[in-house]
Amino acid sequence: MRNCCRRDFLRIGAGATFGAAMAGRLAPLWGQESPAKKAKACIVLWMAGGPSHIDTFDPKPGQATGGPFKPVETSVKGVSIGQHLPKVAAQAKHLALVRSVTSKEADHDRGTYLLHTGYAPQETVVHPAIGCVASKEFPAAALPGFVSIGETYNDAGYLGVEHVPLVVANPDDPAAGLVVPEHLRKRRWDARKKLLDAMDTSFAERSDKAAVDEDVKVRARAEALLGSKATEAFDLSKEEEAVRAAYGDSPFGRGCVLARRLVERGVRFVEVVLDGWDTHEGNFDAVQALCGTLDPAYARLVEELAERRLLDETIVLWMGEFGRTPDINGANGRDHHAACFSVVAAGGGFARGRVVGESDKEGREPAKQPVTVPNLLATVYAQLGFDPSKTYLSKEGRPIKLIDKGAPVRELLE
Amino acid sequence: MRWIAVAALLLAAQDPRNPIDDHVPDAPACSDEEFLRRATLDLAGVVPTVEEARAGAKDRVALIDRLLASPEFDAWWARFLLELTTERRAARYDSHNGRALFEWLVARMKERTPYDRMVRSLILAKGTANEEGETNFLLRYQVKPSDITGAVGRAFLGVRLQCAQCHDHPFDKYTQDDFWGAAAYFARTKRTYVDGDDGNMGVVDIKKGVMRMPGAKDEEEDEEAPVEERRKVVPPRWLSGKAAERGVAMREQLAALVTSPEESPTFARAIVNRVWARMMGRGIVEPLDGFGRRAKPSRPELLEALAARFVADGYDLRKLVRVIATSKAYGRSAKAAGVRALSVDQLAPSVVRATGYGQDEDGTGGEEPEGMMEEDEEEGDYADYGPPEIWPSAPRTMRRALAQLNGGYTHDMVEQGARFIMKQLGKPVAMKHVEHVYLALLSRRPAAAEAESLAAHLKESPFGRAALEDILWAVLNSVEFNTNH
Repeated sequence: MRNCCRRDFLRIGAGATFGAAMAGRLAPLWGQESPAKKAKACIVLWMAGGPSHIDTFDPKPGQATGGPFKPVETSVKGVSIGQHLPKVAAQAKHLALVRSVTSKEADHDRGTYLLHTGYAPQETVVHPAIGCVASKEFPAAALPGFVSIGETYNDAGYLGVEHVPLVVANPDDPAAGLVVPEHLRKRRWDARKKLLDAMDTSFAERSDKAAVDEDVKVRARAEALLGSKATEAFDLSKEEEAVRAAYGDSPFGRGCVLARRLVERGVRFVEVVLDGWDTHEGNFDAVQALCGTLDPAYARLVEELAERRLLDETIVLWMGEFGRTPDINGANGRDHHAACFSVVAAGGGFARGRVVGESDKEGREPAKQPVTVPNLLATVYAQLGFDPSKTYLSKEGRPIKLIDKGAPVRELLE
Repeated sequence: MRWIAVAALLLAAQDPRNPIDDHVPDAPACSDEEFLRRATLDLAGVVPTVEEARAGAKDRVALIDRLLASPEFDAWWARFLLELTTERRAARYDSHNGRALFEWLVARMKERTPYDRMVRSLILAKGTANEEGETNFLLRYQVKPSDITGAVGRAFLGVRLQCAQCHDHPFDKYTQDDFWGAAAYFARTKRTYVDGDDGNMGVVDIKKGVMRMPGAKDEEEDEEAPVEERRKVVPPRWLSGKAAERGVAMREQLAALVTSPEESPTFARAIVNRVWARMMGRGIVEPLDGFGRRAKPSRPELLEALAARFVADGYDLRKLVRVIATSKAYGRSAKAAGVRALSVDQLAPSVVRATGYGQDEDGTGGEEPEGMMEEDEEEGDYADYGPPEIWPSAPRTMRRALAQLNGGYTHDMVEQGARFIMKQLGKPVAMKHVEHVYLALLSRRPAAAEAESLAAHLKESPFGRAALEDILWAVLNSVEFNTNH
């Protein structure tokens, strides 16, 4: 296992963007057989709607585009972020703040697709979301490889339906549907499954056996999960009240507690959705309220992962489908803006307390080191131990790279 | 013997030889009960009732004709057209009113409007979203010339034009000039907001307006952006190369061009291929919008024959469905036909009818199953079955499997269903109750071997109702119920 990952990693190291320096730097690390710098899991905090970069991680005080918020100092000297993220500011020492992400997709669906796949939507092929790739590439375990708390783009495309995430629709009751009701347990549940198995077996013989078996495979995984003790991962009542409270009293906060619990128990990829960032009107009130939800949850998640020594092997990504216009519109809102926005990474070998790239003084375009989305996701894949240039076959037999025209970005890493 | 010959001639005149049978090799036929369920699901979008299943369908052609004449056929195929024209944004949205479009399509299906005429109406639509349902096709695409052109290509011509929006694709026949030339027919069509009617929008034509090729940095055409000199004006010109005529309204010309066999040779083939895929599980051309230069039809002669027949039949969707449904290929065995996952729109009404779920105590009234028309998919009663998927072969996801095995919806439905059936058939639970479940959901009686183990299960359970619930649960979760085959 290690050998294969190492080989993949070195091959990436030989790529153009990574450069020889990185390969040189890595050699001693792997020479020591240290597994510490490879991520084993990833949590994406998905800011649906497209969060304003200027009002969160890229403040522009004194500019007409800056808006009314003041910047707040962080735990990294000389780095400030938006006023309403004070707890996150205190955790900035763990964060790599990318202020120069750039894309051309300023439509919600297209941007969401790009940030989840590294590709703009194409007519001929459906690309798998990062979490589906993690589900495919990491070995299967009792819990699903990919859990989505709330929902955004999560098509598995050519990887097949078995890598679509388990979706937790309501983080306030995450175990709903995962625990078989008391009166059905044991004897009666087994009797039901026996009836069902007999039906499917006989139907497979009478029809298209391969297709039926495929369908039964997905159902068998669901059945195994229902019968497994592993579902206690979804039971938030097992967490102490004080531990939960630190994440804030919100569905998103509870989603973040759940994400941490799942990663602790071997889930490889968790996405937690916070919706409401599409602030065409009343941007500042909305962003302030959203930050009130985001700040304790995000900050505590990073802090607690660090306390539990999980941050080194867990990537935490904060991102949405794009940023928002520096110009403030007539409805005190900000519109879609993809040319320059912020993404924040932590853990899993990403740099700590570093700002990467820079936007121009009004926050319109990258001024230094633009980072494309394929490059960003290639970095995530590489840290998870997957070769971003790995080629899969589409359903039509067409070869498709995990990431096309992208390679890991050295500066994002430790 | 002369009368036999005359009768044969009459029959032949009434029902000319099915063109499909000349092109698809024979396969063993399915049983009558399999055919009844398959055809009812494909033509009416629901499983047959217990009574229909009990009566059976020895005369397959009579069954097809009965289904074709039913209101369920109109609604089910209007949903197909709704999916086609809205790209699965079928409910009511800020941008458009999917329900109004659906009602318009149902009315067209009911009055048997030819397909080409429907498409012309969708392209020519004017008026407001809530009043003129057909405007919601253009509104779905924000009345943006580039988006509508992409949708016209994909939905009506089976080609992907979007790629040509930004660059000339080396492998496809349409260039950037072709794309913007086609889009130029919509240069004078605009979206309007209706004063005093919140959320209602409309489509109007203005007198002047030209299409400009977007600049390198500005891929979206934006009427408010200052017009830059470098953005050249693109005159309207159809994909066939035919230039626009003067003095005729642009959209009038386009509607005629899109539906013309000469100017748009893929118009009939694309819809024939989609209907074929919906009923047979796979298109003759795949993907369904892959009628580009590299398209490789699996049976080119069949596609041509079906398209020719469709045109000769006056673009009548009913007749097209009839040709396919009465072919030997359609009636082949489940082994040869394979399985196709049911959509939530087929599952929901089938389950409600069989179990009385969500209905009043006497089994009437109550909530109508909404399926994909549900305005808020996440909160709808049927959301637990996963996202609405109307296309064939949408497989069962983990989420849907979990919901079906152990969702609160499933447990409620199973309990209510057992009560509902016992109310009709009385106590105690016996094999006739089990047979009812099989007929209601699978359109067949239990086979001999099954009947034995089912009877044994009934005996094991001290309370007949619990045993019936178990059986209902197993049937609802079975692949046999969840697929068409």
